[in-house]
Amino acid sequence: MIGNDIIDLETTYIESNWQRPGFLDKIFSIKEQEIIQKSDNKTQTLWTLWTMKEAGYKAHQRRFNLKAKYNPTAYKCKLYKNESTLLEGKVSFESFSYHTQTFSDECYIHTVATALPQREFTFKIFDNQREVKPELIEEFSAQYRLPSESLKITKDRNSVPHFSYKNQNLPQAFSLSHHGKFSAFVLALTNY
Amino acid sequence: MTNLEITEKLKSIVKPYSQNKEGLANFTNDTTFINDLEINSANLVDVILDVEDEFNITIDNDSMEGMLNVGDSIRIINEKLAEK
Repeated sequence: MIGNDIIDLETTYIESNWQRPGFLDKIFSIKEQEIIQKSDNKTQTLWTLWTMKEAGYKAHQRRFNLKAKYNPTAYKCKLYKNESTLLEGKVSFESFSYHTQTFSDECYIHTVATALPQREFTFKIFDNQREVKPELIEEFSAQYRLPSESLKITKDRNSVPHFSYKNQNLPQAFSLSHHGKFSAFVLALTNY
Repeated sequence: MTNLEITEKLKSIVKPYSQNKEGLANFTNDTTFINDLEINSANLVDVILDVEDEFNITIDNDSMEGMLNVGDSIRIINEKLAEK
């Protein structure tokens, strides 16, 4: 199972003030707040943890067909490796955990969460406010050799998107995210 | 405070975060913040904090979980106002 989340850092500077009283407490545990406060780049670390929670939430919601909830503190983050462009971590919710991989630069942060580590997926990031669904349909069409004109993306009652082919739902998991001028999709390449 | 007053206050709180102005024009109990108003999930926390400031209440994590549409938010605000 899979989920993703992207953050446009420039948009956060304009639209979010994480220093406002109560902001951190509503989203992060004491431990996570310590990670943020101790890091060299607090803004980057904060939004990295946020994308991990969102990506983990989306994977979990899709996996168990759950209604939407706004419970960011229930998703607990752990960071593993800190290399320049790829950051690995884990998001736990109740007894479930999701492996996360975060890709970022000075403009964006994009996290992919998967139920099992090192499962195959493909993702693409766009920085021009492009409509991401047609791009994903093209990618899906190429990966699974289905004509793109018969593929559609529809949302279920929980607003989770699915592929359908000639009006039949397909099981392949994917996730979409957009924020500011950035958008991204991730598509699972194995069914799990 | 009447439900109508709460609704009006809530509407002005979510307005600056709403990316779908059409959704804002059709503001009903069923209006969802993320899908109908296209409020980015990163800004939901700002909506909650603005609600706390405006109504002078505290939204605990359990209540926050369900604050995803107008009707549920009004119900939760009423509950918290009654506890004061």
